[in-house]
Amino acid sequence: MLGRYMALPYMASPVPDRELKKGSAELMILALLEDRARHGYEIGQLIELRSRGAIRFNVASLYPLLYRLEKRKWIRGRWIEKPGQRRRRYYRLTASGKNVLSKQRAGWREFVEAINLITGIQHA
Amino acid sequence: MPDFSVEIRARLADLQLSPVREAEIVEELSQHLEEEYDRALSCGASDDEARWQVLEQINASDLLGRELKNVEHRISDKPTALGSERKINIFADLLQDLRYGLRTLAKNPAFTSIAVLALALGIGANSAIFSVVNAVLLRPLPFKNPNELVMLWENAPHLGFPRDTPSPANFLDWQKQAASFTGMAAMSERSFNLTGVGEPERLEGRRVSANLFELLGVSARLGRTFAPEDDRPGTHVALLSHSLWQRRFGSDPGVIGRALTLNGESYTVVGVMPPFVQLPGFENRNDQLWVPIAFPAEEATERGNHFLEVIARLKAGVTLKQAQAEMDTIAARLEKQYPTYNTRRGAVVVPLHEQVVGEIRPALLILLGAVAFVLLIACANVANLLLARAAVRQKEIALRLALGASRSRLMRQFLTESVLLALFGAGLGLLLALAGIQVLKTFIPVNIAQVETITIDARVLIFTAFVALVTGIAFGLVPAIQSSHFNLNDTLKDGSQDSGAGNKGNRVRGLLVIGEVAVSFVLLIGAGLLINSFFHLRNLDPGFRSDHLLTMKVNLSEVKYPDRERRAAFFDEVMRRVRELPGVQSAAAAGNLPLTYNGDSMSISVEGLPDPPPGQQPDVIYRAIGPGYFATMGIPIVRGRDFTDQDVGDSKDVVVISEKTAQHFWPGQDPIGKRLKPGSSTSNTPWREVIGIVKDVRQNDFIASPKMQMYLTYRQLKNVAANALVVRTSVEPMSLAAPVRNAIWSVDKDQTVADIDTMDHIVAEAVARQRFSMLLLGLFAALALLLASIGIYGVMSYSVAQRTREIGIRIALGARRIDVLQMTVKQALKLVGVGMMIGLAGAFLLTRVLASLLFGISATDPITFIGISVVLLAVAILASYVPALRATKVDPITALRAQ
Repeated sequence: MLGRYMALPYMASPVPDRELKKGSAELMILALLEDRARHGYEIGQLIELRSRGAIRFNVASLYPLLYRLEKRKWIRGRWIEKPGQRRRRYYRLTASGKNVLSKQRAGWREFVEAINLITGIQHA
Repeated sequence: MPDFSVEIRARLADLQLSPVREAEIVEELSQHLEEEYDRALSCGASDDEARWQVLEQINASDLLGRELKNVEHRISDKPTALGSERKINIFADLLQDLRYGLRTLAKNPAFTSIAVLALALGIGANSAIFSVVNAVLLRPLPFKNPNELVMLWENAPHLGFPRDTPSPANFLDWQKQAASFTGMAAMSERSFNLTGVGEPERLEGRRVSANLFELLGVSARLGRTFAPEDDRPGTHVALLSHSLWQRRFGSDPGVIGRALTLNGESYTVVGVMPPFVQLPGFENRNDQLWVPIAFPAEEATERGNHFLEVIARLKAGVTLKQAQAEMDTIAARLEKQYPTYNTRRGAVVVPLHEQVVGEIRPALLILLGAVAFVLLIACANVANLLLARAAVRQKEIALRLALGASRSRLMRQFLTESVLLALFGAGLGLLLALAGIQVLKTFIPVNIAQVETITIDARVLIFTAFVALVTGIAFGLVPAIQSSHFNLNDTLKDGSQDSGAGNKGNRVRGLLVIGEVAVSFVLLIGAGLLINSFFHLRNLDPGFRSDHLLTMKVNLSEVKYPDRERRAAFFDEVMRRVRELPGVQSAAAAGNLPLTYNGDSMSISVEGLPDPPPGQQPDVIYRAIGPGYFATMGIPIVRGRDFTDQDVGDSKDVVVISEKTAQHFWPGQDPIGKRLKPGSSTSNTPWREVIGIVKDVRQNDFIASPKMQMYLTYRQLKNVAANALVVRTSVEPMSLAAPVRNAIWSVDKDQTVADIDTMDHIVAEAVARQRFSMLLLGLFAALALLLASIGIYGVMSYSVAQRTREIGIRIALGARRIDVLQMTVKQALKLVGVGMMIGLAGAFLLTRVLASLLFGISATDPITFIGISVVLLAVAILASYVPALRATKVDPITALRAQ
């Protein structure tokens, strides 16, 4: 179950913890859907863009993850047709997704701070 | 652009996803890959490089397949065959039907709310009336084994008393001789003046045999009921009703043993009865306290004075018939023994329940029938709505049939929907019933038993649920059968608007309208008859002028006013003070007022005429009144004069008689100056000279024709006192209630004043039961008319909408608007006409059950029948006129293009 996302090539050593990675991937997606609904490609692009290319999602891992979040009812996908375009599937955050997002955010913040305290890395 | 969908689909093959889901994933992912491909090209990659870069993502070690496998579900391995028999799971099906039904109803809020409202009106009316029937007719009387309880009456049909109150001596003989009963108890009405605690108050109550409560199986809530030793003259004990205990004694448990002053004598309270103990009797009354009957010696031998009510309990195994046979034997024996009093006097055994509800039963059952009719019409309306909707849903039904749904499964679905509708209707209907019962209670006649206990109880709830279920099936069945019987091919073909089902649907809709019209016609005729009959009743001349008359009961205490001189002095002083009040035109002391009392009659003998043989003595109602009574009441004096202040104890004894009495004893002669006396001519009471003749008054009964009457002045009577006051006012009578009462209290501060009322109200109360039936049946008929007109309107609208094309062609071919209007209205009238013919036949048959409620008209009164036909026809024309008008506005071009 490695390689849920490709964290290459600039990271010196990949984050080893599987749960951590899984959690962080979910958190990223939920966070990106917080403001508005987006389609899968847009989500992938934004992750790559905002991580300045450090994190890239593979189609084969992005979509199964979206479907999983949808199954948990944290996000909801819907086919939307816009004039002059093909229909696309847009995902938006559900109420329970919002809930999960705020919890995960808090958990992640605690975790990062704990790591910082231990490793002495200064916050940027 | 390369087609990535083939590549993606190949990687999903192992997952065995449902075709729909697979297509979705393929579409979404290939979009993504295409965008990546475009981006790679824009970055300068060649076609092959871009393609390779993109495919790389899904090639890596079958990542996609593995990841998706954890998320997506496989479909069943077994192939699904269309239309195959699957395992029947009624419960799961029902749940599915319920969910689907709820969704369908929610999707059509307009349809749903109209249907639910119509059903709620119908079901609510049924629940409300049923709750009355339940409380009054069905609920057992609150006594132990009430089926064994009977009432015993004397019967003297030749005097107009099929049930006459027994005399004490006869009762005591029955009690001794009858073997059919475990016990027999007597009751006698009695009023009590309660004094010494707060305001003086007149309380209605009864003297009862000590064994009465034991016989009924009712025990005291506090203290005890009467013991055999209480039933002796001189024992002064009393039982309080629950309401009196609450009201006057603040529910004080210490009331037991307390002394009360009743009619000037001291009584000891021995017990308090539980709430809602209403002793049955000749009239349903609300007793407030009871004392032992304790016949004094002179009363125990009284055979000519009939005033008791007798209740008995049948021995186990003794039938009503056997008891009646025994009572017949006893009555015959007593007739032989005491011919003077008992000639032609029999005895009747009446089941207690029959006694209590006998009179109201026909009216209630008719009302229950009427509301059932209203519900029937509501059902027809909803069935019509469902039919119209089924026409719209034909495509859906056809599709489901084509996909393998069985017809019975479809029917079940439709029935579930209609039962759901009915249940919603029942829910709302119960709320309406709850409100309706409150309204009903306010104008239900007070003399109907157990009015207080009318509520929505378990039985009413079960009744409502049952009605809802039956209703749901009734109006759902026709559309359900319809929809499962149409031609699949026709419906699936496009443009087949007039399929066989459509025509059949129209026919059924037509039949429903005919039924609605027929049923509402019957109801309207019934209501019309009752209304007509009620007006006949209200136009009856009571024999007096009831307007501007204030009346009240003033019962003098026998202890304080033991003789006629003291009574006369009291009334003289009260009259003097009352007549001085502003707004008072005249006032008089009176005996029992017309329409408030059902007793006081005696046989008389006339000077110069032989005494009639026993059993054939004429019965004459007598009233003890004071001077000025006739003028105050507005009873015209036909001949002779009124009593004056000179007609007192030691002057000549005089009497005023009614016209009917005059005609009976002195036909064709002038009775003035003639003499008569109570009882036989040989009795030692003095002869009384007739000084005046007055118009007949409806004394006891408003509806029956007046009986013979005579009036005596209370100043010449030793044993009978005036007990009421009538005041003719120039202002609103009730505004003088307090001043008149204060005038009485200024003469005697302890004197009770009760039943302050206007004569107009007393007359209205006399026909309260008739008014109750009339109002309710009228209301239901109006509801029926409304529902039927909605039905006609709905069907005509639908028909016009369906025939838009035809009407368009007609107009295009030169038909005038008026022709179209006529055509449409005529079509409606054809249905209405057939409905009315059926209704007419039904009305002729059904209104016969109304005969017992009618007065002054026959059950086939032609004026009512014609009048109602005109009303119904007018409403039908109006209901079809609006859709007809719409038909004339059809634009031929639009109508033709629409196809």
